[in-house]
Amino acid sequence: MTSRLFCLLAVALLLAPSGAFAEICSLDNAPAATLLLPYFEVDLDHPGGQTTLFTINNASATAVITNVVIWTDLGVPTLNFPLYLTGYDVQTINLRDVFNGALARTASVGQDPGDLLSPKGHYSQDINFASCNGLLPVPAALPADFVASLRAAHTGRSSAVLGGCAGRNLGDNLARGYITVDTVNQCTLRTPNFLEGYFGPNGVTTDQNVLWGDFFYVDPANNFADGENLVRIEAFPGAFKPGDATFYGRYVNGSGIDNREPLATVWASRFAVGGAFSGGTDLVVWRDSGRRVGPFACGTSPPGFPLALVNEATFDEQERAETPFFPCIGCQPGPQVGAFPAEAGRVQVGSPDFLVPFDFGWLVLDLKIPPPGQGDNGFRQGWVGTVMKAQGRFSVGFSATPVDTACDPMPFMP
Amino acid sequence: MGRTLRCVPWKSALILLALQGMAATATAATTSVCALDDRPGATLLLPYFEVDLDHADGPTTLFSVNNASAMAVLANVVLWTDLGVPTFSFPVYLTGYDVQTFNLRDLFTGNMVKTASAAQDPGDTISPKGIFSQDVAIDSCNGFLPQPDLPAAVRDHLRAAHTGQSSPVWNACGGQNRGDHVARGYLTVDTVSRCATLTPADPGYFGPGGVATGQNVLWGDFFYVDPAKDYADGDNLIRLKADPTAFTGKPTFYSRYVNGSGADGRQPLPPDWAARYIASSGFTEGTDLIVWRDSGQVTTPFPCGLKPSWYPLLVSSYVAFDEEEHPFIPPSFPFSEWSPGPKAQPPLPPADQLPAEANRLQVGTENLAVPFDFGWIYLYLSAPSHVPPFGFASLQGWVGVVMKAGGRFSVGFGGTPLSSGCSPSNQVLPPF
Repeated sequence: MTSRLFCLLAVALLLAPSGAFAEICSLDNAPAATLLLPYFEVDLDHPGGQTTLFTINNASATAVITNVVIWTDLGVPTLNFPLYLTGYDVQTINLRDVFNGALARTASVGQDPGDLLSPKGHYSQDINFASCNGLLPVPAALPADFVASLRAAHTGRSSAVLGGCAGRNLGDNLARGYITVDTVNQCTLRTPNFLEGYFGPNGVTTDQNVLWGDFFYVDPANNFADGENLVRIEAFPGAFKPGDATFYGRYVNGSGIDNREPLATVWASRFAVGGAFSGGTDLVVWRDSGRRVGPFACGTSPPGFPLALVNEATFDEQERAETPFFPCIGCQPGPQVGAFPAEAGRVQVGSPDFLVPFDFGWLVLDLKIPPPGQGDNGFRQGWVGTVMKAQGRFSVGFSATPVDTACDPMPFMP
Repeated sequence: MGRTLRCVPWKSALILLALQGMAATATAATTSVCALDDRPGATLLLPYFEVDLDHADGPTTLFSVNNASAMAVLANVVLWTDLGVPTFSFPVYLTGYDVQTFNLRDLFTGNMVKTASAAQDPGDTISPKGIFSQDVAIDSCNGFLPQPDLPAAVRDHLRAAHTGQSSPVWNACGGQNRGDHVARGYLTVDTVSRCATLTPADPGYFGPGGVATGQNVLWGDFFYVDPAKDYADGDNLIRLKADPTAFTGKPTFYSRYVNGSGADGRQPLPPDWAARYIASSGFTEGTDLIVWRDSGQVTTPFPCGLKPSWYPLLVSSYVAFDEEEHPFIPPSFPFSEWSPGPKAQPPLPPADQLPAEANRLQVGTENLAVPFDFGWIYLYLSAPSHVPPFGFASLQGWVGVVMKAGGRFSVGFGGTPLSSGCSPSNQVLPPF
């Protein structure tokens, strides 16, 4: 056995993802079939301003195709593109590049016979996906009018391509939204919100739990950078039956055929609004509206928005509790427009949008949507991250603490 | 989208119901005890800490301990040297939903955080509680709580032990002396039933009659802060879930202290991890790996100038990939050869690149040489003597990543586990 062959075997065995260790309904950092970047922001007015970076990694020796989908903060998909990863590949993406019309250029063997776009290492598979002919490599630059529409859609302005609005206009020309990355078996123009052909027996998605990655929020002007692992959503084929919560449940009518584990519905997070963290604490929140959202008339909101909150409680370090909800004894908790009206958002704790009576402590967010309607149990999943900032000095980001799982959510209170 | 707080007196009953539900869910977290997720656990692990003892505004480590339950809990905080010798433990009392923050610099200067149960704090001035939080009397904490500030002798012991110098208490050493007067080590926090001066290394800590409990209610985070460089990064403390019946005879987090009986009931960590690295570009100061490892041995103080018998811990294998998946496979014990690669190979890394139980190591330096500026690293942390063909007894570990831009910012996050501590990968290096 040559040393090279030995090494091939060794590495293949070393790095073969078992997948067997995946724990259903746990939000762990094991490689997964779907990655979620829960919120992004890119300052379109200032080339040196805030941006969001993320990476997509393949933990397997086997080449994979992924479908990167960009959604507005209200959950409208605006752009998707295939990303080919050779075995053990890593691809980094600065979303500023995307909003300037430059996508990551990859290609399988069929589109890249010279191995110039997606070179591979000695122990990495590199194969041909014929379905990617014409789709990979993506153009070096997106058409200018499409880029303009993309920028408009993510800043809450009218998008010519979409024929309306797709996100919130907060008046700051920050492109906002979230991103999903799914393993797929072919290059596709479909997105998870397609009525058919994305999930299920004839769908393009696969259940390869091989993706991992991380994301950074970078604000060069303020010397802030913080980040965290991308949310890894593992697939468990056959584990979810109709009626079970899944990550893409809203797009599969609750059938469970996306096979993706759901997130949690209740989260806990620490906060500091002073002291060493003079810049306070931001909460980064992704929420599931439970709806398939399409473009809407500018100046209006899509049905179901703004999203309400079931409950919220804030504790100081002496465990004194405060809540802004529940206006009367015995009332059902009515829809409350909380600080997180969109599917993807970032809110500063202590700001007018999220008042708290304490400078330090922790809070609980129940992201379910009240009240449950007919045929709708209201059990909405979500994800919460925490960013603590010292003005002009540093910031620290980490995920909040899930208190339940949407597989077994806490009941509505009371 | 602004809102106002409405403080109404009767809301208490409703919020109490909500939070009782939360506590119940925290208990239910044991349903998948092997998942390395961020749900509350019975043990918290701060995998590595450092405190610059020479510079008051130098690097330090902060952490918080939170109680996710309405029930009051007692936690036992244990400091360990970077070689795994316990140096000090102290109880922390948490009323329901309590949060307690710590700066380890305070501890190394002898200043202790004050907490006390109702028995030691009848006036509720030390550990006040909210209206939905339980506050109970724990008589065993009389004489322990509130924790007094440390006598000079104990403080000096801690400073010496964690900098690899001779401890006046032990008259021996307990950690690595790196010559920089930075206190290093790791820290565990366990839920316990009573105040005691015990650590997980002591008999009577786990098992029937032991002080440790299996309450999966603790959560928290940690920050590395370097004010001089404007660096701060952090992550969640590692939350280890407990299930008293799930691990009988199986590997656990504290296996070495319970002779592998599983009596601690704590989920183990996996041995194999993946982590991204950047050694240039925007992150001009590169990438540090934070690595916690299990030596598998009970370590006690040792004569200064010597090291524990297991030292150094070796790395069974590591593979560095660049962004084009070119692998760099340095020779690793016992069999492998240098891999072919398109670029110049770096110098042979030392076998003891991550020699301690708690380590921080910069990627690209002599001890973790890689020939690339970007990519990712695979680490299998079990010692070679524990992997085939010599047998297989996985030794657990944890890996974190810190990426730094000189004087501007740093970003920290956990690595990616590639197997489970309950069913760890044994695919390390096959025999020829």
